[in-house]
Amino acid sequence: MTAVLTVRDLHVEFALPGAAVNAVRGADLEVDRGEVLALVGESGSGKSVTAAAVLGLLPRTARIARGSIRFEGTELVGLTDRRLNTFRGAGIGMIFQNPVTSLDPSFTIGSQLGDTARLHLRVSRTQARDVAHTWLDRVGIREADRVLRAYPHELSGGMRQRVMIALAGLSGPRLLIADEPTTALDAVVQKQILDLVLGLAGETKTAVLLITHDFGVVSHTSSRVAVMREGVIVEAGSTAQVLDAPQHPYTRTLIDAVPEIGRRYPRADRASSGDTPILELRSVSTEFVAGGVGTGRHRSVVRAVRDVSLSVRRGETFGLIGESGSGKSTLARLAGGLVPRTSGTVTFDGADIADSGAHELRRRFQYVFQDATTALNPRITVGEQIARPLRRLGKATDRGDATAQVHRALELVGLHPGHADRYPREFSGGQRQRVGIARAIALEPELLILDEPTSALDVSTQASILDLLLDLKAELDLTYLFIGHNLAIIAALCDRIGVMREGSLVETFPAGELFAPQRHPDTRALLDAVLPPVPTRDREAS
Amino acid sequence: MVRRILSRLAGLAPLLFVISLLVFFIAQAGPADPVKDVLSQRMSAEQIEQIRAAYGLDRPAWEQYLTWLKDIVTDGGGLSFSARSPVSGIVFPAFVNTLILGAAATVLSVVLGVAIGFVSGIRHGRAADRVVMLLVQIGSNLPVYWFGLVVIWLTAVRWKWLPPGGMHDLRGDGGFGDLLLHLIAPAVAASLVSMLIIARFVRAAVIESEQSDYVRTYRSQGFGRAAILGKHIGRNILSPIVNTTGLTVGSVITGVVFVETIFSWPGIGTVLLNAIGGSDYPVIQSGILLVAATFVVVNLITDVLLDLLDPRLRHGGA
Amino acid sequence: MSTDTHGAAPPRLRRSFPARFVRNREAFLGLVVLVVVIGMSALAPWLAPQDPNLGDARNVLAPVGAPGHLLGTDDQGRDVLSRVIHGGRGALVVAIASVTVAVGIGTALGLLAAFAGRRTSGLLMRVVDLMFAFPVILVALSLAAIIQPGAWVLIGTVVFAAVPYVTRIVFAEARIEREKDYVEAARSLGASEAAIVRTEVLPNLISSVVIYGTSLVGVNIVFTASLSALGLGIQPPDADWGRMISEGAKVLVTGHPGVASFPAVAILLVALAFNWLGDGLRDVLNP
Repeated sequence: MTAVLTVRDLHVEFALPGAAVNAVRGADLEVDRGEVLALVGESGSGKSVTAAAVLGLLPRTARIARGSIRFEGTELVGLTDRRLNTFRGAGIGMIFQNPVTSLDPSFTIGSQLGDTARLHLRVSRTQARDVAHTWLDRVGIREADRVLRAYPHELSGGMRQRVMIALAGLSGPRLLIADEPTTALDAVVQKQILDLVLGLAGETKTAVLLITHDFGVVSHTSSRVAVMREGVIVEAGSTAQVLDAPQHPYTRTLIDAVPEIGRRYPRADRASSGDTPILELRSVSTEFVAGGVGTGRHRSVVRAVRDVSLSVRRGETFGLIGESGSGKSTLARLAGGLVPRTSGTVTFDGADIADSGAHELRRRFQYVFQDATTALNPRITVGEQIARPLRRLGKATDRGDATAQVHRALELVGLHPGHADRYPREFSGGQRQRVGIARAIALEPELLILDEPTSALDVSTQASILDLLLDLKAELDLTYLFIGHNLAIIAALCDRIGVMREGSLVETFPAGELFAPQRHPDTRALLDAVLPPVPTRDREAS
Repeated sequence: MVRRILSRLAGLAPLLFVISLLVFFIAQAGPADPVKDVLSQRMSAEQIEQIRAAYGLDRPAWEQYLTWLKDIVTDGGGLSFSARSPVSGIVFPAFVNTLILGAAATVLSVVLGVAIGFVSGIRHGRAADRVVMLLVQIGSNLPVYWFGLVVIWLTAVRWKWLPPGGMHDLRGDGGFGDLLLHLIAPAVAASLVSMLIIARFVRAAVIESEQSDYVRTYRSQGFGRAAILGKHIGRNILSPIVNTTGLTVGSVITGVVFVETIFSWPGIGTVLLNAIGGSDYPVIQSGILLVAATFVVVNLITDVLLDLLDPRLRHGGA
Repeated sequence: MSTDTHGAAPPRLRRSFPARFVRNREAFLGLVVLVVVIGMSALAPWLAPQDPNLGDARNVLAPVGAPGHLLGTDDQGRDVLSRVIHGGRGALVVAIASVTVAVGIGTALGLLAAFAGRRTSGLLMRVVDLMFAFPVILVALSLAAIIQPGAWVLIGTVVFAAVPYVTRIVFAEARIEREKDYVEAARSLGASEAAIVRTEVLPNLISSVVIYGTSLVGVNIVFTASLSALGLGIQPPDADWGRMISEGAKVLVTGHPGVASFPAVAILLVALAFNWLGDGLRDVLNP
């Protein structure tokens, strides 16, 4: 079998003010005809840079310092842009991570497809339109005529990605590079898109280089996998083998860190949950008004949460899951009193949180945000950010007392108290999230509402943060309301699970009954969309 | 779409009303008693009162406003204090001259500004870009008055290509070509500030477009750089260009007024400056109102153009 | 206590502010030039070799390098060098003072618009947008018509021009910050809206405001000079760079460019210095 793509000893460096950063330090890869190679790694591993280097699409500040990239025998490194253009599209196609920005906002879908068709297939305008139509059908878009006339902003994320696939497939490439094509999409759509790519590639025997950080995707799509870390490929081999019996310790930690459906975290079952409800939502609804006078847009009412009732019992971990737009984040904010309700009541320990005495109540439940980069004020030191609410809500009597409490909180989350005078940007992503947690527990709350606390983190960091959360729960006697979109994490972590869809709470059930036959179809759809990282570790049969 | 235009027009009316009020108050707030200033000191108090009555200066404020408004609308503003002739005869011809110069300066700003910005943008980081940006920086901090003088000196005195000022050749062959010749130097001087604003802006827009994700998609499909630049980047920066041009209309007007004195261009700027010196309020008021109204109308046109260009607004924008 | 400690020291990213500042050539150069110019203007009465307003009818239009007149004399025999040294006083005071006032007002308005209800902010920003695009010269002319030409016309015009500029910038940035989670976190941790604006959002805006304010001063030095050249600003016989340009206009075309050009160069230099300082600060304040 001839290799379609051969990468040898690739070195890519970025010229930043003051220093040169080596993003890729000697990578070797091979993709054969008709096979799917997954290149997997965490953020900063250099996987996306490698993909960009193949097509010569590196940013201005980067250059290929050394190494060779051969496509069907031809050396690509060192070619001029014009020569590379003969390979781009027709020989090598590429689809990108962010479909929102990857399509030209000023031209219709039909026009963009048509331009590409005419460039590569040398057809007339009318023929190009037919080609575009055919391809839209092939990628599973039903109203092809409407979509052809539409602009990118009128389509959903999943549809835009399908269009991107059509654009890339049109030109009939022999190698398709997919750079995290589904990271920005919901779980259900993700699986559909991956299957689409696999199907098309299989039909035409196109080789696929798939960049991802998700081992579930690796397992589902690829026959071979290469693991990348800090610019170097640490392990490569057949997918089944690498996932089942990883050789390199880094691979092993990565795989172990992935939560899999059906397996509980051992620590999760330590604390026992009581029966008394600590947080109760009764028939809660909320609406948002978008547009209107002064904004230049039509006034429209969005019903983000519709008539939801649920109760969280003291001591338990309640997981709330749903796709984007399901209303789970809004519900969490409602429970946290951050967003006004249109109707219904939210009571904490029996008292309505909307009452005027809520100040005192506020201390007892706290919120942890998803992205610690935006959840922390970049211009205020970490210690001060934790101390302010302590002073404001009267928990600390004076500055000295506040400082002592800040140090205690930092130690609890595993950070050095001496770093209290640092700014958030001086910490890593995982450390920043720990600061966010410290800020929440410093007030000694009884309930923590966690809005996707690990979604913005790497897999390995994710695991350590989840461990921390479970430890804290046991140590401080906390109750958790945990919002997430990753069913595997939720099932591994939580005692009870609630499923949301389009603003409504579909059903609630104990985590152990996730696979039970009476589950709602929406829950089943979520379950089916889960991509287990290791195929041999089967889920319990339903 | 039509509804948007109508609603914008409707928004114009209160705005023009407010502006007219403010302009009217210029005279009310001014300390000088215009009549006393303008007329000879040797007149008796009685005669002064008669003349004040003739100009309607003894009526209550709101009545004066309405009279003034009527005058503006019907015949352009009453009588000038200093010239004793209809304001309209002084203001309108001058305004037309200013319009000519302003239009030329706008065209020049857009054409040169876009060209400079575009070239600089596509050669981002390279020598040409750096040189251009340095020149832009210097040009932006140059006093326009002095720049105009230098232009005259170079074109009329040193190299003798162009006439040194005024609008027409006094020896009166006065054709279009003659006008054009007289127009070049002042238009260049007046367009300096706005041209550089547009240049900087276009450059930034081009750079941002070139680094955008959608251009990356095109490149990955094998489109040549020229094609991408021309069709796609061009189309996507059109809207910001129109937006910026609309914003620089104010700078063009300012530039024109500065330049008129240097080049002896008989425009509204010169008229207004003289009127201020002589406290000739009717002239001042009409002049300012005219220019302000023009500015508002141009703004409206720009907004409508922008709406037409943005596909998000055209297609049932939610 | 969590068993895995992540207390490893984060790398000391930041150098102190003064260190970064000196490293940045643009900012440093700008600051040096400004210190020199401001010092010169402040000490003008002692630095200038001659009385700037003293004319000498026998020594009209002396060339550069003439004895006792390093930069020559103007058409009234006044020493150009002394007039240049004195000429920046009025302009600098006017520009710095009015920009400072405008920055204060603009920041307050921008914050107000960002945190007010949709209608209030929509209306406010429409007005601001119109002020922003309005031809500033009309304002200058109107003011001159009311209060007679002078320094106050300059101040009023600059404030009118600068307030919408600052307001727009502050509004845009404050709106972005307002949507960020740390603002919501502060709210959930008991902070009042006023406290949020003051202690959480404002610190994130200050560097932008300082940067834009610095550039604004530079731009307005040039602008007020041009207004004075038209006769709307600083009045004769006081030495003022802008005024000197128009006074030197008559003789520029007849072969005595110095009278008008030296002050023009001074204006250019000061404006560029403010520009460099602003650009340099942008890099220094946002590491």
